[in-house]
Order: sequence, then structure tokens, then C-alpha cells
Amino acid sequence: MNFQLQTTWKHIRRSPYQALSAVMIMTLTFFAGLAFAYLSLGADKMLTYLEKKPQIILFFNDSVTSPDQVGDLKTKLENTGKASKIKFVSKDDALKIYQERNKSDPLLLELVTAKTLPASLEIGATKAVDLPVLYDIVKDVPNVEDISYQKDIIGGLIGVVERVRKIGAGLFVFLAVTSVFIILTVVGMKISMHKEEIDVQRLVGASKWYIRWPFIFEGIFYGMGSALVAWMLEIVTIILLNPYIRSYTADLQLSPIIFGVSDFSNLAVIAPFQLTMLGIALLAGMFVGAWGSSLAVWRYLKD
Amino acid sequence: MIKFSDVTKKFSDNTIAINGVSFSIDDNEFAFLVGPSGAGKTTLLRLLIRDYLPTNGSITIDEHDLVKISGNKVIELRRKIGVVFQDLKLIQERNVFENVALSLEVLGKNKQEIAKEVEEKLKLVGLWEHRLFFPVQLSGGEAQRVAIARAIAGSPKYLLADEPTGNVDEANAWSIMKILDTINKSGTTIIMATHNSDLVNSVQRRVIRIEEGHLVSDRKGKYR
Repeated sequence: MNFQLQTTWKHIRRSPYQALSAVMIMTLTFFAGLAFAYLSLGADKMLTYLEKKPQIILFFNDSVTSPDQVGDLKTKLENTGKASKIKFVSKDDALKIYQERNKSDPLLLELVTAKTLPASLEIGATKAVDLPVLYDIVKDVPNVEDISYQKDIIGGLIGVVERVRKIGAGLFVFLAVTSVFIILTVVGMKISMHKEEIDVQRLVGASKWYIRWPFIFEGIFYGMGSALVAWMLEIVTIILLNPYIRSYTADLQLSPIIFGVSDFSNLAVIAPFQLTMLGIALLAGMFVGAWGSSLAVWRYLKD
Repeated sequence: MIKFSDVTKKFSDNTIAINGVSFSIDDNEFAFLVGPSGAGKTTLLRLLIRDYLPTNGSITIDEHDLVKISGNKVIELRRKIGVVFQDLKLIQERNVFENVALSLEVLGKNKQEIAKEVEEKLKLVGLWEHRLFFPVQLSGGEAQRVAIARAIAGSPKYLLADEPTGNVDEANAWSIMKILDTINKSGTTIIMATHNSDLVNSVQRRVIRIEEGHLVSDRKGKYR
């Protein structure tokens, strides 16, 4: 195997511009693939965050003052298995929350008492897609003055995440297939360039795989090399974009996406996530490279 | 032992290159294959390394029946046979050392074994000092000797040489002949295709004569 690897390296060294063009074009594929992976992960994280927040809030009229009055409703919601959180907030609790939020504004604190605030029931869904099921249960409950329902926000976000995933996957598949054809062409050219050497190898008793491996390794090298370059470019890009991302996602805990990339003082946070991304990119590179070069070997080295 | 039995090779354009040829060559023998250009000498040698398959007849080399032999056995067979090609087939991108090492790399030998054997073969053909030269830097005779060194690297049992003295001057031809004689004396069976009648007449070895694909004579001694 050592000879085959040395031969691969010789092939690359002797036509560096072909190798460079293959790596550069494939870098584009993996850069786009990684960009969509990060976007998709970020959107997922945002969705998870929003799912944890109460997505339906029932505001009761003054007749509802204790949690016992909504006990049946609570049980009914729990029995669906789709609610992650059901919390009754009494008038007094509401006042405490109000006071905490407005502690810097004494005028606002003076104006509001527990009597003026409604008791409420905060409901969170395990999955955002289950939200309509829970809403159907609570929409006709008596003694409810108002319902805050985040269906549109969550639904919209689910739609965005799905679109990002589909466009990303489609683009990646398109670019990956393009990369396979580029590797097929480059490795095919290399096979033609080494036709005489291959003939001699055959006639002196080289096995099929002795001849094939250097070309397959070459494809794998292009794939993995470009995946590595794309990953490094992606890190640089995210670091540069980090201030803008932070300003848009102020209190969202996108730790692996934001802090995992930018906070290099905390390697324990960065390393596992980023190394996983690198590992996935390298595996994809190896697969695309091996696929392209195997096709070239199958096409041009049949005997 | 090599055995040709009623071998015919017909190409797709209906050219008959070899027509009903039968002969056998014993181990350690040195045989010349002579005849005019286009007689079928190169085709016969290519049949021996199973680069071509015969249209009719059978060819056996030791235990291998070349018509029935499987892919893996072809590899095994080719490792037993060294070939000096008419066009030499030296790889221009490899230096002399690397060209000779090719046969040994294919055999899976390690670096030390390769270095030792390449040195031995290049010293035998008198080109050790030229080991870092590229084929383009060699004279015709030197290139022929590199091709011989590559063919005998790995100590094959058989050596097929297709016009190894073609395109070289008389002194170089004799030098090559001496190298082949030494190789034969070390136990390698040699079949040498040649046009060089002076050489054939001088060394008094077995001469197989082919004309228009037919075997016309098989005797010890003279070119004609």
C-alpha cells in the first residue's frame, strides 16, 4: 500500500495545477454543504429554544384565582403527552413577574396591583408541530378572556427550517455530483497520461488493484483535502460574521453555533462540535472522492 | 518448459499472424526467433505473455495452459517472464533506478530488497553509474540495457527479448549479447527475436525461423 500512496503523491506532484483545480472546485461544494449544515443547525437550535418557551398562554377572567379551578384542563393537556410544560400563574405570581421586569420604573410599579393582572396558564409543546393539537383543546375553555398563541411564529420558523434543509440538501447533492464528474475527468486524464506506465505494469505482472489504488487514492485525496480547506474557510467566515449573528440572536442560546466557534478560550466547548463537523466533512469528502475516482477507474481501466 | 501446439493467431481484420506453429523450448535453453519483418515474431512473444490469446491451438508454460488460465494466474505467469519490448517501454518520468525497480515493486518487495536487487542488475548491465539518469538522457544501447535490467529484475524464469540489439551499433549489440548469455548461464530460459544474422551465426544456438506466420525451420546454428 505504501508504494501506491507514493505513486499517488507522485501523480499529484507532477501535475499540480490539475490537482489544485480539482481541490478548489470541490472546496466550493463542501463550503456550500457546511454553510447549509450550520444554517440548519442554527435554525434547529432556535426552534428548540422557542419550543421551550410557553407557546400558548390562557389569560383568565377574575373568576379564576386558584390552580384547582383549572385542574381538569391541566390533566386533559397532560394526557395528550404533547405538552412539555403546563404552569398556572396566579394573580400574585403575575404581579411578582411584573415587578421584577419593571423594578427600574417606580411609576409603573405604583399603577399596577395583583387585582389588575389576570391569572394565566402557560403551556409549552414538546414539539412545535404538536402546538395545534394543544390549541384545539384550550380554545373553547370557559372563563378565558384572551389566548396568546405563537402558531404563526413557530409555524413560519418550521417552514423556514424545512426550506433551508431542502435547498441545502438539493444544492449539496447537485454540487457533489458535479464534484464526482470533476474527479472522474481529472483522474481519467491522469490515467490517460500514465497509459504507458500502466501497460508496462500489467505486462510485468501487476495485479488490477495494484494499478487501480493510486488513482482511487488520488480521488480520496482531492475529496478530503477540499473538505478540510472548506471547513477551515467556514470557521474563518463564522468568526467574521459572529458579531452580526450575536446581535440578531441576542438572548438565544446558540452555544455550539456561536460560542463553539468564536470562544477559542474555551476549547472544551469548541472542540467536540467543530471536530464532529470536520469529521463529517472529511467522511463526505472521502466518499465523493472515492466515488469519482472509482468511476474513472471503472471507465478507463476496465481490464 | 514452453510448448506451442499447432498455434494459430488470426486478428479481427482476418490477418493470420501465426499459422499452425508447434515447437517446445526446454528450461535453461537459449533460442533465437528469426524471420523477416512482419513474420509474426512479436505476435508469438505477445502470445507467450498472454497479451494475445491464440485463435487455435494451445500454449503451455510450465503448469499454465495459457488458453484456460484465470486472471490471477495470468499475473502469476507474467511474474515468471521478463520481457524486453521492441519499443523498450521505458517510463520517461522515472529515472533508470525507478524503471528497474518497477518490476520489483509489482512483486511487493520492500525498499531494502528493491535497492539491493536494482543495484545488482544495473551493475550486471554496466549502468549503475547512470541510475539517476532519465531515459531521455541515455544512448540507444544504454536504454536497451536498462530494459534488460528491468526484465531480469525479480529473477524471472523466462526472458523474452524482442529485437534487443535493434537500433544499436555492432559493439553495443555484442555487449547486449554478452549480458544475455550471462543471464542464460545463470539459469534463465531466453527467447530472443532478432534480425541480426551476424550475431545468430556467431553464437551457434537454436534458431527458430518464422516466415509469414509459418515455422519454416527449427535447428541449431545458422540464421539461414
